[in-house]
Amino acid sequence: VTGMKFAFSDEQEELRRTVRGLLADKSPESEVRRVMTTVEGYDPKLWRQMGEQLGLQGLAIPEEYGGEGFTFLELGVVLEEMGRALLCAPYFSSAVLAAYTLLLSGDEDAKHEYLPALASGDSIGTVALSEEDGRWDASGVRLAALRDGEVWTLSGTKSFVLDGHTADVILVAGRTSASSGTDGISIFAVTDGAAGLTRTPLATLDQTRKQARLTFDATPARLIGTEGAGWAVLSQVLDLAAVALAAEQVGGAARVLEMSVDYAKIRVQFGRPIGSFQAIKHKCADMLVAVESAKSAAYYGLWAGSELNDELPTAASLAKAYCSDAYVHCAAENIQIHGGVGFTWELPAHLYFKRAKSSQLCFGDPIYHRDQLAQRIGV
Amino acid sequence: MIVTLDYALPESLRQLQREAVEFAESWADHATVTEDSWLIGYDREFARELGRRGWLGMTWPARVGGHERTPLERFVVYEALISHGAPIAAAWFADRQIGPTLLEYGSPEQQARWLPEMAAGESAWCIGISEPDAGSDVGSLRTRAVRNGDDWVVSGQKIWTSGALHADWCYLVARTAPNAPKHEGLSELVVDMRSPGIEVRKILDMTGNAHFCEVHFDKVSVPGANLVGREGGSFRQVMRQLEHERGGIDRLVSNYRLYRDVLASGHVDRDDRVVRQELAAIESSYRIGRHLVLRGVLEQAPPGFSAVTKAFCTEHEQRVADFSARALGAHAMLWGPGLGGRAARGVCYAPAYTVMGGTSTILRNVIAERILRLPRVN
Repeated sequence: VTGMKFAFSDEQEELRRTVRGLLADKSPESEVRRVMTTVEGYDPKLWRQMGEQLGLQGLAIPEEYGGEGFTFLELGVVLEEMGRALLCAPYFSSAVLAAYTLLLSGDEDAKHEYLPALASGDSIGTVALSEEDGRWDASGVRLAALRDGEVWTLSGTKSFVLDGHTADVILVAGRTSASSGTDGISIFAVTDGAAGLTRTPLATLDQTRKQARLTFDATPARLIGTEGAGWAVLSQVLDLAAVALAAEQVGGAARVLEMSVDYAKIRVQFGRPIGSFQAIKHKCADMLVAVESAKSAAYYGLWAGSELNDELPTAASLAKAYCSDAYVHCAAENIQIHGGVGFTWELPAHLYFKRAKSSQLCFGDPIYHRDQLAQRIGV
Repeated sequence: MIVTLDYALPESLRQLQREAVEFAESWADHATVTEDSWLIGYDREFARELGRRGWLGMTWPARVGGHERTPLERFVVYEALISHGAPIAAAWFADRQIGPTLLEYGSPEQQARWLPEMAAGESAWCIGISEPDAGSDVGSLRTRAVRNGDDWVVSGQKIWTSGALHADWCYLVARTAPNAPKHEGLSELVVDMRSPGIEVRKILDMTGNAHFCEVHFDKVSVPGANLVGREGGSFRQVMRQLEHERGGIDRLVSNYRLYRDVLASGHVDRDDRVVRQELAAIESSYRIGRHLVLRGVLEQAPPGFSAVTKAFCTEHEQRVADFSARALGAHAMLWGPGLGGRAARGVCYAPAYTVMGGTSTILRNVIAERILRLPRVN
């Protein structure tokens, strides 16, 4: 009997080592701190290298659209490493949100037009879904799309758009009829420099991931896929996004556990390493349980996502709810184990804590996803 | 061969799963317990029936009466049996940990002597490790075994020995070298429970059940041939045995049947937002726990991982007990045979989940010291 595997293949682990090596070399903490203070929030040189040397941006994009033709699993491995290193780059926005929206749109022309540049890293993409009220579901989509002959224009505001100020291609969810809920939503592509598009970078809790507010004033846009059928695509993209964030969260949580354990072994108080005290041991043990169980949840999501199978909606909400809480727990405990120095700007503990908190809230918080999960399982 | 992540149970095992579910349900009418059946569902006839079906010693070699099936097949069978409340307790300790221990450390003669009767469901075993002054601290065991010619003479007391009253054999850890360092003087002996000098006293647990016992040994003679593994080498062997005890599916689904029945009872308000949060949390930890167990079953986990699995899964079981009682509300205040009473009993059983087989406190030490390598201080 074959079947059931809960670990990555040797090739996938090799990919992990390669990405970890690249990020250790090109995006150490000092670089993260430098890049996070820039408006763009990424290093164009490293971004190019990621594309040219490793093909990371196009990893999961099929070869016919200029990508490497790997799967969502390999993407998950890369995201885990990026979460671990707190890489400042529009990777999640471009390689997950934008690429999968196009891939799932069924729009061959659009795929051939946009995916090759996204795959090479020459172009950056993102998805603009939520608006001023910060909802991540269909009812939050109110931006109006109007048709005049063959021309569509968009009017309204999108907010919390990841990398919205640097993206070359913005895939926008809009309403194409006076509808509510999941009906009447369509996806549009708006490109850099479009008339009536105003982009405002936002100050963010998590400085390592940038956000923008976008206003559209009769901005010309291209319909992607079928008019009115956008939500079916976006809901699957949201599931994949939830899993992708969960993979990043696992990487971050594992890293803060390492920080805690390393520190607990060398920090001496009362004449002994603090890691010899049961109180500290148990905090670390709880973090390990959280990390391992979060891996189980995230990898479950990656598997379901790679097959786009029936379990994806369940696995996605499970992974996002669970891994969000696990990461926040670990990032908070890491500060406690470090004591006073844990609260300083100098130690990177706060960078992980802020990423944990922000990604917990992004694309639906744990309460939202647990509610979704209850509904999706139908218990 | 599949080389990458695959969370789907192979289709070929679905039939086995259905068979095990049907078998468990066919016994449900005359089962005396519905929850925690791996521990307190003691039924010798059921054990023999498991043997006849080839569901004991499933993964063991044929030469000792085993069936050479995969760990995943065994997982599928026991997940179904335990989550449907099948009374497997008379066979479980042997199948779960004593058999595997004998396969790993026993001599060919010992394997030929004891494993076939285990696989037939003909022998019931108990495990003599804990003592009144040695609970989490296994190295402090004081039960002594003294050489007398070819035999050993055992004196001392064991406690929390589940199933001792009806057991045929006790797998005993005793101190054979009183002057050796405390972790090095322990050995393992198989003791015939009908030997003169053994006295078993029942202990009532907080649910009123009496599956666990005190066992007193007063100069009990044990043949030298019954020493398993290396003399003085028990501490390592016990740690290995506890891996089998801690990482299995029995620690996740003890009260799964209660949960299922509560869900079907009409007492769960699925439109209530708080209830939905709880349901989602339970469904999440159930799935995650199952994956953790499977990582161990398929040997895709690091050494010591069973401590992680048990710590996680037993907390899930406690959440299930708590949820069930609150869902039933006032009905769970009554100690009757109905669903309310089962929930009340479930709440009272739940504290034991994080005690037996290693407290969650000691498991956290194991995780910290064996996996994370944090310093030990003596």
